[in-house]
Amino acid sequence: MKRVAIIGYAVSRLEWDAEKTREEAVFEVAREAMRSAGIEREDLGTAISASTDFLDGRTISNCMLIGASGAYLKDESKAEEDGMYAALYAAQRIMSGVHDVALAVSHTHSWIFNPHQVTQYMLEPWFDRQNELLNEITLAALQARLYMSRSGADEEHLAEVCVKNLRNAAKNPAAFRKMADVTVEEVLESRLYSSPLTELMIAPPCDGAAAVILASEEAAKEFCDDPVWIRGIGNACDRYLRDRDLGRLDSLRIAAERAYRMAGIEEPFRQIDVAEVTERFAHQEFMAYEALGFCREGMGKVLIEEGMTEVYGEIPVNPSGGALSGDPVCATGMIRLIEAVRQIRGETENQVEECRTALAHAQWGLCAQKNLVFILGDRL
Amino acid sequence: MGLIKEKFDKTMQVEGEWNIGAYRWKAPEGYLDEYVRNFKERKIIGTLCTSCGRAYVPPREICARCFTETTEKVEVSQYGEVLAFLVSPPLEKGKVVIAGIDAVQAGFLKEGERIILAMVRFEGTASSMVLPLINIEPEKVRVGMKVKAVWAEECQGKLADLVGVEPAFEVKYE
Repeated sequence: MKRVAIIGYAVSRLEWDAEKTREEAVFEVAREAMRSAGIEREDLGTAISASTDFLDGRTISNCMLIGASGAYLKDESKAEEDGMYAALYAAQRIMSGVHDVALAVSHTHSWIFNPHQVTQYMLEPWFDRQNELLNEITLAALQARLYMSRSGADEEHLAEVCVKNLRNAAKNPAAFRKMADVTVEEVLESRLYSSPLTELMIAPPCDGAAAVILASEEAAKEFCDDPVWIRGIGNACDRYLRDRDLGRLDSLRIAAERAYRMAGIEEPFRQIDVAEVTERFAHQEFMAYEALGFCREGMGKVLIEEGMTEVYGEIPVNPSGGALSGDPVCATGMIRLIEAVRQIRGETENQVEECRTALAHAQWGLCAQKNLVFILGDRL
Repeated sequence: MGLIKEKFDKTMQVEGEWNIGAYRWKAPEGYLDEYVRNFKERKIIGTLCTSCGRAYVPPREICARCFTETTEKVEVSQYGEVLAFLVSPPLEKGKVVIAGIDAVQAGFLKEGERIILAMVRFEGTASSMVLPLINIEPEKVRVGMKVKAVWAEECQGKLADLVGVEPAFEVKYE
């Protein structure tokens, strides 16, 4: 199996009602990613895009993006999910030895269609969809309650996650929701969507696009001076939300175990320098701490209380601000991957010291049904 | 419409609907709006890729082949060629709905009439458009025939100003 490295990336500024079309947004990041990797469109072997038909309002949502992503008359495919799945798909194509350089690009313009308008269509149609109160937010509120009753965390702990991430986001120029002086009280007093979730505990949908260039070992050494290596990958998908333990992210735990085994990581708390996780809702960051093995079951709140996951802490989580700082749905996970790459290269505004191993996590589905973990390192 | 909707007797059905009207799209600024605005002067404007020289009508903001932005505008010929065509079955009431209006009921099209849609490539362009082909019998249409643009009597700078295409020369058919 071939080694895979990330040699270039680009992220657009996250905003609401961006003054550009989706094609322009994808074109911008694809061209910028190729420029940062030092490659031309001719060097590209394959291009994978990630977008969602129901958010784009057109079926085969990649069909209009061929020109914009540089995939014209090339090997092209699409992952109908988060951009990190497009990166996974691209990495697998390189590992197979068929291609040397791949582009993975993802985008969502939430302005076109607010994702929360249709989350009830992710439910099964016979029982759950007949109940108009059920949607992504109310189900996440149920999950938060399940987690809180199991772990003893309360609303203030959830608010502390928001405070940490939104303050981190204030240092990130690309972030959408930045609040340098936000307090726990402000988070708790923001608009209540579904108890216990308030507005600031929910990732704000926004417009954005991201792209990464992946390369095989030979190509990476040819094009790039400081490639970031993909050391481990783990992917797992759980069952429908009523058929699983909603209060635990078992699929994330299994995905993380697979990625750790591939990367040779035995003690994640000590061996991982920074983690970028996709927490669409504040409680999911606690659930991720536990599933990723940073703490024992139910001890996620202690990491926040002790400040361990702050940027200066033992295991910084989301120094970029995470999904709570802006959620361009299909690009959110890919932005986590890019932030992890930037941490290893030492290019971020909120830099973790001596960062050599980073973890990036993407989720998809209601209540994080599906989880994908990448372990990145500055050496093989 | 047996091909589109089939009823199954053995399964229970649950109704559901999806509000497609909630979607909104952005068009690239300075491309489609300028293209439609120029209809008022009965001009067809496309974009020109300065790197490969291809012209795109309707305007495209990106040349996929060169992976560059196409910023230059160019007026293209009103004459073109039929690449392909289709002839509809005789129209019935309630079957052709354009922008929410029943075309037959509103009087745009006559009942029993057949519409010809032609894929037209205007001279010098690298893309094609699908337009109604009018003023010709369906039996006389041939792939490769030359056509020219037909404009509304009063052009207002709207998409409907370009009514369609008609044969550029008298068709001699023996």
